[in-house]
Amino acid sequence: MRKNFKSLITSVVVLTALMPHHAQAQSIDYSSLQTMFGEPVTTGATGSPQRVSEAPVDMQIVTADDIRRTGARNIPEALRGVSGVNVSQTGREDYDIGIRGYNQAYSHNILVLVNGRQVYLDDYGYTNWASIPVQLTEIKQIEIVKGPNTALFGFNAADGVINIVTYNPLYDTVATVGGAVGTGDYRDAHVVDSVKVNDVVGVRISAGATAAKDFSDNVNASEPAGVFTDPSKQAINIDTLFQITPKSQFRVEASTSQAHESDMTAFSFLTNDRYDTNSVKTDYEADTPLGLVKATAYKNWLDTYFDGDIFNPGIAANVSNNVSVLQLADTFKIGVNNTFRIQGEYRHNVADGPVIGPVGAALQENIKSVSAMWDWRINDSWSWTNSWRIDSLDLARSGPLDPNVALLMTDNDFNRTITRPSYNSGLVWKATPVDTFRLNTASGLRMASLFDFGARITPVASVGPFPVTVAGNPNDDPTSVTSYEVGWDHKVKPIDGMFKADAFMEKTDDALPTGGNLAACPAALAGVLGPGCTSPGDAVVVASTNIGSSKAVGAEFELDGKIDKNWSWGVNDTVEKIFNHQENQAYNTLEQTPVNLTNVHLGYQNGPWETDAYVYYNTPFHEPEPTGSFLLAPQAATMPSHFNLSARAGYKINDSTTVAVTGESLQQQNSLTSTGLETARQVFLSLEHSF
Amino acid sequence: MLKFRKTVALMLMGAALCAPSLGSAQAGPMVTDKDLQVAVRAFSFVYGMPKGDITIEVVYDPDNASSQAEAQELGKLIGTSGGTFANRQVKAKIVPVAQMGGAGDKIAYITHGMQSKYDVMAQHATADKMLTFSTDFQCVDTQKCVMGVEADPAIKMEISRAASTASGLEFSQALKLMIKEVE
Repeated sequence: MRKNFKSLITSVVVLTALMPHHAQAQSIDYSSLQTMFGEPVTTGATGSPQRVSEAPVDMQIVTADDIRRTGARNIPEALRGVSGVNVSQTGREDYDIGIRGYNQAYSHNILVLVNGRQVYLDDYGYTNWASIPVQLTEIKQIEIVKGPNTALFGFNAADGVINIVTYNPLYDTVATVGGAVGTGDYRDAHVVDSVKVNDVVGVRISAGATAAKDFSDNVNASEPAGVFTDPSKQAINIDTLFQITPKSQFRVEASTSQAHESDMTAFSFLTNDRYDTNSVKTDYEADTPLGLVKATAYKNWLDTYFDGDIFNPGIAANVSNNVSVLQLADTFKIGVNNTFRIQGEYRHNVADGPVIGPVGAALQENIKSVSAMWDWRINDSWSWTNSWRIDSLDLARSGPLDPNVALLMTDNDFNRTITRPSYNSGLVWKATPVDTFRLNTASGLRMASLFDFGARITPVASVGPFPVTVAGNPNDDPTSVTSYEVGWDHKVKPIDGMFKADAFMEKTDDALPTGGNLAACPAALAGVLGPGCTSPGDAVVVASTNIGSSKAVGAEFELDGKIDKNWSWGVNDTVEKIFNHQENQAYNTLEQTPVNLTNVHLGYQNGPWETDAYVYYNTPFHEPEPTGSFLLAPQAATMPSHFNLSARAGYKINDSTTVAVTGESLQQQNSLTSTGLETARQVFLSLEHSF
Repeated sequence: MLKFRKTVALMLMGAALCAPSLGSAQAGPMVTDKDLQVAVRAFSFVYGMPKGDITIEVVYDPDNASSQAEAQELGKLIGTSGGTFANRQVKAKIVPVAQMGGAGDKIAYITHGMQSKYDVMAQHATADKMLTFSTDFQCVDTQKCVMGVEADPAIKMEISRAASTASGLEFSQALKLMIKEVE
């Protein structure tokens, strides 16, 4: 494969060899900067390159070593141990992740990116983790920003950002092939290879495939067994970086993925779904007299196919969603103590398909944004960073409306402009060489998804002779999140470790869970559905609605360290309490936050051996019990406190080959962790070979 | 209540571990292996700086015993036949300030205690377009040295714009955005 791949890029190489090049500085090599500073370097906090210890936000980095040592077979499992991150698993490959609470099916308040490209799916407004087209072995680090960061990344970075950063094809050589087999017919295989020519072109290509049987035990007796799609996923990713001149680089990334799985939807239905994604992204970055200039353009193509949920097979809920993004940013210094970053962004988002309306219907958003960041190094100890951003969204709809949806709205209702500001402010005090204190406030936004704005699923069911339709609501307002936070990071020299403490308060307004409330029904159903049934038509309509506000107060504590050269350990604890004011929905979807999340890690490394054990614990929380009806408000099901034991033992056969045994949910055969499928104990045997 | 106790216990544990290190002072040699590793890595963020083997002139003040001692110490650290630092082969050449730059070398380490010779050193560096670096940050703060580095207790780097410009050196923007610059 390597040989074939080399021949495929021969023409590119020949052209590149003709480019002017000579021994040169590593202008934008974040890997070398990271090695030099001895800690992760990120642009994920302010857009400007920073050492993570100096970032004016609560940020955590999961490194490639961390990922390997967890033994994780997918990205969500690699994130389980991060403080304040709540990972929920409702199927073998179906995960939802929340940061600082509010996790739910189709979790939508976290913006997920790969090298800055959004992999958050705008159609239903969430992240399908299985369709992210990167292999774990090509991930350099995963950056987790806790709290709003809309001022940098725009809409949907409301509760946090997860940016998956892959290795740089020009500076990092990754060549590995591996695979695993496991219980439940699990098998995966992946290959990553890198080619570098004359220090002016670097190419990394990856491919991988995973298949398994889904968990077989189902907590919901009403849902028949054996109807769930067994999960599978395939992905290919190509990343190429050209050093055009000593001071400029051009990067092209292209990917394709396909994922099949059973999903827990926001309506508390388990569905069988397929996600096809494609993407192309280009970046041009140059070190100029005007600063570090970066121009980015990318396009995502998404097709989501719903094979029908298990209660309502045949529902036409497919959707196609294309997103095109242009970004232009300049990061520069004025004087020696003031760094600025200005950015403009344009985004075009269009969706069509049965979920939007009859043939010919389309929903589109055009978003224009400007943002600015100012980082003021007040003196050697103090710095103050401020970011502001304004996003302006123009919503429009074209094509025919479903007649039942037309009971509530016309196309004109979609002609709407939503303009919102957001900000981040962080004061950092490096009190001593080993102590850093942070004071932050931020305001972030989550825009309604295309589904929330303009869905049309009909008929999903019927009440007597009346069909039930699910509709969007163009009048949905963005959810806003405002946070206040104080943090302390302390390097603990005696244990070669770090202590971190953060206390935070977050206020969420106009919360907007994906899902719906009764919006219209014929008067004949007043006795069945309630006194609000006065609509003139003969259909029942359920529509998306802002549901109220919520406050979260909490704290995170984290301590890690090493004992001798061989032992490493870590413990973190997140305590959080939610206070809700919910107006419009019977089931309180804002309640799904455990009061306490605790993670413990113990690792041992000696010669060829590497062993790690992880315990993840959460206190009870609520989840909606699936009802099988779009009309019946789900009842709260209490998920008991739960601890999850995972472990990995790896052995290096030689310098390039490692064999490992990994176990997940080892504590018992089946665990009740959500109202989805029970999580089964899993054991994997994996082999990884570098070449 | 149990959760509260656990939380408090974690806080106390953290605070207890922190207490001994607050106010701790750095001790030991003036330039360490780690300092040199950081400096050598930083050289690759200077445009036009050749890759491959490098020779560092270790510059001392013949009138200052501690400066001479530090030069000898660094010479030993690098080794008589050179050593590998940050994946690059590095050789050291110990020279008094008056002979600095004479052999066409482009990088110089400036020892501590050279305040009285800063101007002479800077004249040589400017004339020979040299990158001067030191763990003596006073040399950078007074615009005489190009770069200051320190690896412990935390990595610290500082660049003098005036000294860089005088030596015709240009650092990458990415690096400059991450460190302290002085005018």
